[in-house]
Amino acid sequence: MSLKSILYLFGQLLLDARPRVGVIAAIGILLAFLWTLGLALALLLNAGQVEDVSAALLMALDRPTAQAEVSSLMERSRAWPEVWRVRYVFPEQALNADAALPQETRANGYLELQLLSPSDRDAVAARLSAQASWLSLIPPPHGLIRRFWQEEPSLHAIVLGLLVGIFLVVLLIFYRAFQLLAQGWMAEGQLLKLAGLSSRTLALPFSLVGLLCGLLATVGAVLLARWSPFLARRIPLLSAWLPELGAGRLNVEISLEAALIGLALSGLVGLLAFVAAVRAFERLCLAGRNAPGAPKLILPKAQERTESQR
Amino acid sequence: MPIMVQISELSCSSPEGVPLFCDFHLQLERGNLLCVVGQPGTGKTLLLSFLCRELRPPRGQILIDNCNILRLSPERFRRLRFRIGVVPQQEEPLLHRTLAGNLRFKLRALSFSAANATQRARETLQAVGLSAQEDRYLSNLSPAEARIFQLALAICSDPALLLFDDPTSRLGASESERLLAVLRSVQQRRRLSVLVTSRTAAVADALGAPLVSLKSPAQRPLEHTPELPADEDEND
Repeated sequence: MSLKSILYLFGQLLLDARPRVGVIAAIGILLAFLWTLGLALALLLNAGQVEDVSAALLMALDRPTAQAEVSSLMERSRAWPEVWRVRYVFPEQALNADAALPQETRANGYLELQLLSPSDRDAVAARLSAQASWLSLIPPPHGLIRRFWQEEPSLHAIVLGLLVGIFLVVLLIFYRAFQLLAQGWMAEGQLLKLAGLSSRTLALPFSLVGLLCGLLATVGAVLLARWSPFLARRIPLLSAWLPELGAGRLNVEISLEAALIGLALSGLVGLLAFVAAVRAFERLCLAGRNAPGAPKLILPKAQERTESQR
Repeated sequence: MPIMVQISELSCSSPEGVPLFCDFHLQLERGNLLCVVGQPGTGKTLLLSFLCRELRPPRGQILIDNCNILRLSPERFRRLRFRIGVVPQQEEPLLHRTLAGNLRFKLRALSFSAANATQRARETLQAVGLSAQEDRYLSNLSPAEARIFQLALAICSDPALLLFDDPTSRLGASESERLLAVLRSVQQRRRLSVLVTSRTAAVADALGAPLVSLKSPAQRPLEHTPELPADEDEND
């Protein structure tokens, strides 16, 4: 069987697939793409310490300021497109705040602005300073930090359990889809087996279908990873939790990681499709798919020896 | 005359221990017809399964075109297998394709080019007398025409050997006659070696083919009797 004939059968298989199989495969592809992206994120974001690229902007008050002035400034800044959330930390609260904050913040309190992207820090800080001279920028902390999820073993267990669970569900969904695909192609399988093709040869186009499903999931994951800065700006929660995405620092690494994971998954799904098809076609025989007189396996030679001894 | 199929000392039993073949011999000359006759359960389909190497007999030798198929490597047997056309007793060609579509599907899967497949499909349908129905679906055919089409499916790839399992099952007398006439015509024109299995000797008579009889429960060593129908011989 040449490559040309395998590709021909692959095309025919896609054309003959029933809508139900397409729906199941689409669900599998969607789950696979989410799993691929999730695993890529989990691996990258759990890798040791990361550079602190917080999207929080802290502006200390240089003097005791009237509440009305502060409230008015907060109202104006909430309307800015770069700002997601603004809050004023009172001096009493500042006393209990992070010890890394300078002492002057504790006397008069400070404004905390959550931005959609760390890259907006400088622009927003300049705008605030121009509107309120009694504000001064608190320099952002530099250095390496560990994220909160890196410190929580229970979170690791939950994430690992989720990833393994989704992985198994993806494999089950794909196996079922390929089973149905093979069952819907039994007439074709019977015809081609009578022509002399083996079950393994017949299963090759199914492998291509499996590879295609895996590759579609991979492409989806890579594209979403590449668009993550764009999405982070539109989804404040995402930007707040993963400011690296908004800064565009991780999207290349995530894309590469997702591509590698996706390619491995594609190979596995292709193998799964091959196995499902071989199992379906192996029971086809000369006597037909459902023939009651289908030949049974002949006894091994031990039976003959027993008969000759009688 | 060179030998196309030679079966020697074939022996096997069913899983229940009933002997089906006991030192069975068979010989089909190249370009000739041979009919294997037996009641249901005597091993006719099983014999064809051995010839296709779907199953391996525990004992015996099977030569096709001077090759011992039981000893061939999978790759070499695959090449030989493509030269064997098979018409099983039960088959459901692709109902959602036209007659020509069915043939093209098989030929394209066997690595024929699109143009070659189309031409061969047309020629094959012409050879079996179904060229007027090439764009029709199988459900529109009569039982005899459906069986003739199954023959077309088997011969479209130009096999050297044709195995036809019970051609006249579920056909009436006139339909059987039509089918056997087409088979005889195709065999003569293409000089095909054909092994036909049947429940009755009437098929062998209609084809003018020598006959080999299978009996149950135990098989006697058989003699090839080209002159006389086996039924008369065994009723003695």
